Amino acid sequence: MGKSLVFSLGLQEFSVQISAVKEIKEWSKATAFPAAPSFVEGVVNVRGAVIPLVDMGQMIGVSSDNNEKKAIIFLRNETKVIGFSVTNVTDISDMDDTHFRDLPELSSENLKYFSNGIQSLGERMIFSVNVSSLFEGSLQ
Amino acid sequence: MSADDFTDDMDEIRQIFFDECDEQLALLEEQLTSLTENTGDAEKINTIFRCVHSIKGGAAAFGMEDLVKFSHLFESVLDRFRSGYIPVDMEAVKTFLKCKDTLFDIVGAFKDGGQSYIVAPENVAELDVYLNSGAGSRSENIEMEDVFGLSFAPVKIEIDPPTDQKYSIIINVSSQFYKRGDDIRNILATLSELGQMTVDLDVANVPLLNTIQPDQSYLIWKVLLVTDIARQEIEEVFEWSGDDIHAEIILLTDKIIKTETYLPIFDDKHEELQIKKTVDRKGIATVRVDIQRIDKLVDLIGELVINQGAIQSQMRRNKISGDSFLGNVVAAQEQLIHELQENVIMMRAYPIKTVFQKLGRVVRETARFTDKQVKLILEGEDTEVDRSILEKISDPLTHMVRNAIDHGIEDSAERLKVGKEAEGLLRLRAFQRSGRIIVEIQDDGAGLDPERIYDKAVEKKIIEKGEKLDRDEIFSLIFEPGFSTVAKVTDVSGRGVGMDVVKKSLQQINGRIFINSTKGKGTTFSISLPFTLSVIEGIIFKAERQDFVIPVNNVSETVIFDPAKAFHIGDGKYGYPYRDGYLSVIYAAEILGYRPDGKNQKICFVIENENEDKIAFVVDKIIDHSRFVVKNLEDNYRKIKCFSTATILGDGNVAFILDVEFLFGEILKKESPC
Repeated sequence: MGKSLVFSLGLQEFSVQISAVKEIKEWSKATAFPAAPSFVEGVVNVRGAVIPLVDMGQMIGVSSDNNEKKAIIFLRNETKVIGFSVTNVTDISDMDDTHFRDLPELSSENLKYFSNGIQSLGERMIFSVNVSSLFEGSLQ
Repeated sequence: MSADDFTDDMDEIRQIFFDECDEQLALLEEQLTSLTENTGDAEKINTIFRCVHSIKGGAAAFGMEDLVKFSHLFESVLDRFRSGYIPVDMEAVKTFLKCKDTLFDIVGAFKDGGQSYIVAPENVAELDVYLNSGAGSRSENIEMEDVFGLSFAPVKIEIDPPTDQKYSIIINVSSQFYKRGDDIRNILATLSELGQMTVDLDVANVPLLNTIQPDQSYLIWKVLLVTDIARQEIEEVFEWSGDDIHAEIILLTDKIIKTETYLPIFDDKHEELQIKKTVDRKGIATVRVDIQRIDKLVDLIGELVINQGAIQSQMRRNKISGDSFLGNVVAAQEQLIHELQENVIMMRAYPIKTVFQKLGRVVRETARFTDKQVKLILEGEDTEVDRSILEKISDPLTHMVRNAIDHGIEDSAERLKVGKEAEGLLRLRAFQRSGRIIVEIQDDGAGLDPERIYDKAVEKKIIEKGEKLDRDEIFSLIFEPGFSTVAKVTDVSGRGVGMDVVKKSLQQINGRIFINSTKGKGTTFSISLPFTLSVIEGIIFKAERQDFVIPVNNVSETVIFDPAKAFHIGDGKYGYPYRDGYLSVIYAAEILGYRPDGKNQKICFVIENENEDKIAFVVDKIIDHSRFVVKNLEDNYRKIKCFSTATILGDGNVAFILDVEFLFGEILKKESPC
């Protein structure tokens, strides 16, 4: 399954495939725009490109309260780049099939849409997040 | 090199081939259209021939069979014109233009990943007629083998004689020929078996005895062969000896023998001359650069502009005067960056010719469809426009040209009746005026009939009966959705898109359109376009602590806002006195979803849309007036309401650029703006 970037949203851990990660930056305030979906913080300037910033925690809807946001992970899918604010970036891990489990039955539809399973890494439990779902969700 | 690399390379080469095709086709169009006015120019026919020929060569290398076949056929026909067998007339030029269009279609089909293209049989038939007429004709039967494998090498197509033909063969041999033990007599003997042969020995090159090199060959044999066999068979006779023997085989027709002006012996030199001329014509050396690299350059300079802004705002903050040494350096730098930006933006500029030439085809096809005679005149084709704009004006212009012919220009009978020339005139003109590009589409047709437009608009419930409108207002009704002056839907312009779509697509690129029309005399549509979409001149203002940019061409006036003068007009909306009337008020803060408190709002922009509707747009504070690099939001996100684009400010933050047309649209629909 290859290497993944592990990050946290609140207290829970998530991961995306490393090949989709373009850049990681410290969180900064975005320029808000009207009529934006609640999970879109606005747009930010990354070396001359105007890129939307999405609050991933809010979009996936896993952690109830407003998470602290310390980092932005910029992901690339086809031609577009979107920034996702997360609580923290933890590490890079090798993912393997033998420790990959399905989500529990009662997971929210939203979580099932964005995540395809859980990677157990010793004591750790990491939700694997699907990059193309993230983009579809963000561009709605 | 891996297999992947190889396919990538192939794709790249294919792309280059298609780019070249586009260039060749453009040149073809240019040459063909000028041929219209200067019939029978041998040089032009030559250029045309070469264009088709190089397309064929590339097509063969890529195995595009249908493209090879058609270009080969076209080329063969052109060759007959080139050799003077058939004189060029207007009919022929028309056929050539049609063939060019077909070539364009075939190239397009392959470019889009197609594998084949079926040429309309009448197009082939038309060419066949030329192939079989005039002197030295023969029926062409092209086999792929003939042209395949030759790739880019020039392919000479010769015309086979169905009956006895006279060939002049000039044979030169090198000393190597004799050293290999070959004998010219064997060759002459073989030739003599092919038909009636007479041989002349040319000794003009033989030097004096004291300077003669005994192992050199000085003799030239001039053979006249009357035979019914194909040229290839004659060539085969010489093939054995390879490079050691040089034979020029020339087909002599009666015509050529009589006039002796077009002896193809001089063809090679002629060709050379031609190539030189083509180079001269271009004159200025050019470099082929990937457009993405230039776009990147534009982006980088955009960042430079942003950095410059950052330096200046830092200077202001630290109270460094503009008169100081640093201030002067920064000011000089700003000027340099400004120039750099303009130059790089110019690099993306293309002459409008590329769009105009496509319209040539539209005119021909529409004229044919509607059975009208139309002469197209192009002016200012070299006017340069940014690529991004060029891409977007092609469709609207196509539609307007179709309209002009279909609805504007009358048919020949009607024109003669009203004392006009049978042939209608359509003039496309491009020029620069005060920093904008103006494109005019002028026809000398029937002109717009204000009364008919008015009645139609009433009928279509666009206006109320009895509504008072001036001439210009009536004309602009044709841009209303659902308006169409022709009752029956025609094949040509009635495709469900009206002038409203034209207007809308022009507005998207900040274009404006004006009409000038005289009944019976004709109509002129003027389109005014910005030179580029990558930079706008705007005013940056603050509303609710956020910065926004408004394009300066939408602001007709800036006035101090006096809250005491604003009056309630119901539904939470306000009016404001302006000159001798009243305007509706929109608070910039409303766009952001705030309730304006009426305390911070100090400035009012009188903003204006294309229809000259005005609104009082109230903001907190004006910050600066400057040029802004436009960033498209759709690159990484999607369309958002009220703001189609954004820019990056000196402090690195993003500011949205107000989409005034959108704002008006929402307001006029009485919807809350954003």
